[in-house]
Amino acid sequence: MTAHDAPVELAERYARWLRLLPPTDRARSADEMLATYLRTVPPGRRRPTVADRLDVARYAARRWWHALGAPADVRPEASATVAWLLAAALSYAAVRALVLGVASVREGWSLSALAPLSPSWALWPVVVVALLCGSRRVAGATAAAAAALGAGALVGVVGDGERLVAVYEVGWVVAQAVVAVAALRAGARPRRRARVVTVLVLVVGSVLGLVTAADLTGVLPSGQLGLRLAGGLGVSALVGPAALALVAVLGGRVERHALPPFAAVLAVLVVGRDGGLLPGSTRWVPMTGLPLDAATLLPLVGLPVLVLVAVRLVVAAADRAAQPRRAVRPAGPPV
Amino acid sequence: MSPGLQQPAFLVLSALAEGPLHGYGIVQAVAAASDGAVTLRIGTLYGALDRLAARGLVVVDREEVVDSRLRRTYRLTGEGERVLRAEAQTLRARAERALAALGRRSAPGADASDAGATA
Repeated sequence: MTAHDAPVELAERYARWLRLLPPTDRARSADEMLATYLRTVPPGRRRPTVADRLDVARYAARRWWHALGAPADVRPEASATVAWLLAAALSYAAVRALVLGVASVREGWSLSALAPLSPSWALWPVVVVALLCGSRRVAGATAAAAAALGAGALVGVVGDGERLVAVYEVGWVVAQAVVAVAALRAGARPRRRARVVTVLVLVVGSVLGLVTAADLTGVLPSGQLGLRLAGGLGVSALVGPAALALVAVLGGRVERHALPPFAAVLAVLVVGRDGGLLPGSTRWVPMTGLPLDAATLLPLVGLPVLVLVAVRLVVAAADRAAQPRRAVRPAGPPV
Repeated sequence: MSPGLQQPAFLVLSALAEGPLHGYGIVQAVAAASDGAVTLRIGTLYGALDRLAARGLVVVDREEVVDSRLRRTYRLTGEGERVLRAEAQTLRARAERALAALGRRSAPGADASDAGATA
């Protein structure tokens, strides 16, 4: 049967299933795929078979998965930008945790309560140096080891009954894992302006981490600055995204495509930290602080994924707006 | 199949080796080449075309509107031709090795050595 002979009802039903595709793919391929489906169906069929529905759903799932990452042409540089800038931004947490870890050992404080991730952060200088030297595989493998150590530490923290601490710290482990994946996927160095911003972020983050830890451990007299920096969102989750936003504004498409993972990491950190970790504090997400509780897991996993999808769609829309108009446009009703 | 070229991608490249084809044409060509044994699903076909286009192995040859719907015709690039040729040679070499092994197995004396090995 030709696409023209197919019943309108059948075409509409296929078109409805093809709406599962991400917007970019729908605009590019849905009309063509619909025509191909209609040519393959035998006469007399009025609705898509179960196999065809599953086929569309599977293809749509793959395209959505693909749509959450950067396009192939910018992926190597975008991944490199994510790896460099996020690794530099995490220097804040690394320096703070390491100083607190040393202080805990010296003073006999509880390491699992004060700086549970300090063993994993001990690997972070290797990650940063490896990235700056261009050893992306070493950086990726070390960041993956740090994330694994961190995850193990969190399991230990939960085992000790400090579930709230685990929720508070889980964002850092996710951030370490994101650096690992980005470093291993990076196929190039970031562009010059991103490298310059990385070094600035590294210096600023390290100094802030040092000041925070010094203040928290009583080395500094005020006792206020560190608490302010460490409490709530603080600079810990803002340094990296702010830097990347700066690069995105100054830069172009590559930097734009590095934004979604940053936004997702920021979301994990915010949700983990703003989950009402102090009794009686105001919670804007319904978290109980119990790691195996759905009210805790859903916001921790769901909100970052939603943020990732939303920012990715915005970036894709920006890409489409930046593209010149196509010479040939599909005819017929959109699907 | 090499890690870089999955079976659907190989089938699509093979279909396009004879000349540019649109989506339905590729489905028909693959079915004909396999005597009807392989039916490419449309999602699988376009997934393979996406991956091959991203690797620069196929490109859109032309776009036209047929029955009020967009139809794209795809063709092999020079790189696609090179990759397909390399993959086909690899498969042929593997098939020849398998046939040679079967030949040795059915050669006189093979049963005896089997019996010796199991004794």
